[in-house]
Amino acid sequence: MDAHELNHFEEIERYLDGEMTDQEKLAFEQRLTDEPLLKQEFDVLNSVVMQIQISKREELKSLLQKADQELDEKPITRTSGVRFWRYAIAASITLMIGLTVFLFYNNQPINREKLVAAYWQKDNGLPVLMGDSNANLANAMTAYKNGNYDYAFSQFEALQQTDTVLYYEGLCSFELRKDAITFIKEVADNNNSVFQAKAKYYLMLLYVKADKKEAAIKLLRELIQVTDHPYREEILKLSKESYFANSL
Amino acid sequence: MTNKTIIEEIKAGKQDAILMLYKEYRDEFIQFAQKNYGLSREELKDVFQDTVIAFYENITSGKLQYLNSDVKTYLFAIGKRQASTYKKNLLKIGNLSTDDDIKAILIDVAQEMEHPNELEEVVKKVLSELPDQERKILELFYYEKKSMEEIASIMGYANANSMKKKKSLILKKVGEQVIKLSKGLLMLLLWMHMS
Repeated sequence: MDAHELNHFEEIERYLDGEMTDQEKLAFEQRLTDEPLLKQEFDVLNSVVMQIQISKREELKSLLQKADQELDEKPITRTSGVRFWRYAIAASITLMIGLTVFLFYNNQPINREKLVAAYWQKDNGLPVLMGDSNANLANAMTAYKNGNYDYAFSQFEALQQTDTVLYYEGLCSFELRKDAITFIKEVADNNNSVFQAKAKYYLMLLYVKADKKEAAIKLLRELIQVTDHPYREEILKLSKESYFANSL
Repeated sequence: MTNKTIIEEIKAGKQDAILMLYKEYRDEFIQFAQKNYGLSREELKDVFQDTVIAFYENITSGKLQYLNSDVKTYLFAIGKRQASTYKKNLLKIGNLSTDDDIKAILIDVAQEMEHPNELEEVVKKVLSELPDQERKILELFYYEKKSMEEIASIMGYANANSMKKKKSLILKKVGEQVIKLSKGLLMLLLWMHMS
């Protein structure tokens, strides 16, 4: 392809915009199978058009998901006068007890370990098939899925250290209560890894566990911006935990 | 809000209107659909989101000009279809058990790991760096499916013709930028295609 040029722009645009006659369309589609260079330019422009649609839809979807949070937070209650006062008194007693408990526990060191355990998401691993071409990876993955982390780790360790392998080594290490940060950080820093988003989430929890609060806060701030993160719900919930109070 | 104002608001690109519809009817829809489709509450939230988005798209694209029933009836009609498609897809996923299915999935996973949708990533990046006004023009045309006349009047262009020229320029610019940024990848894909 010539220097960043689109040599067939006009016709591709006419096709994408639905301006061709049926006959023209058929001829154009035939050419797509015959001319790799045309096909390549078509793929680029077609994915631009698709992405515009996908992004917009995702934007609307996340708008509605935010509405879900609002709706689910405050159940609608229509209470009569007497019941209202009953609830009000009950609520204020609960509040007083809650406050006492809160003040008491707030003076205790926060149990970071428990917090991390509560937010740690089990990654289900990749699918494994009998006769898989990469038998060693399949073997390690099966062990991981069965919760045999010690064995899985030793199997992963013997493989070429791709981002996939590093990622699962990190997850095994966490389960084995060994240092997982080194592995997970490498994946979290790898912009080409499909595991990057999840790795960042795990890394943030690992920082919490290690009480590297500043690093955890920095990552969590970044994660909050990612509206389509697979662990979006957990991220939003976590950001309200007292560990992060006033620091985000 | 009357039918007419809802349609007008959505046509004007006001997202608040669908937000309001969603909030107003979500729980009622969930209650209705839980009985009839046996889907979970979380699944039905997802279904109803897609329903409201489909409704929005029907209006912005001009497929739906006016409503001869109330909004709720119409929304629920779309919702029923969405729920039954969702259910069918779930059943299909459950049936993906033949070796061939699983093999195909594994191949996809392997490819995904080799080239994690790099083209898509580049396209996303280029689009996100586009000036807001220019992105809006592409959105109005390719997502909301508005006519060039409508877009010209929204964006303050003299006429449909000059609007069309501008849209072409933007699309071309984006395409060229994508090619520039993903040259290595495209060469590889081309090579795979030819061999």
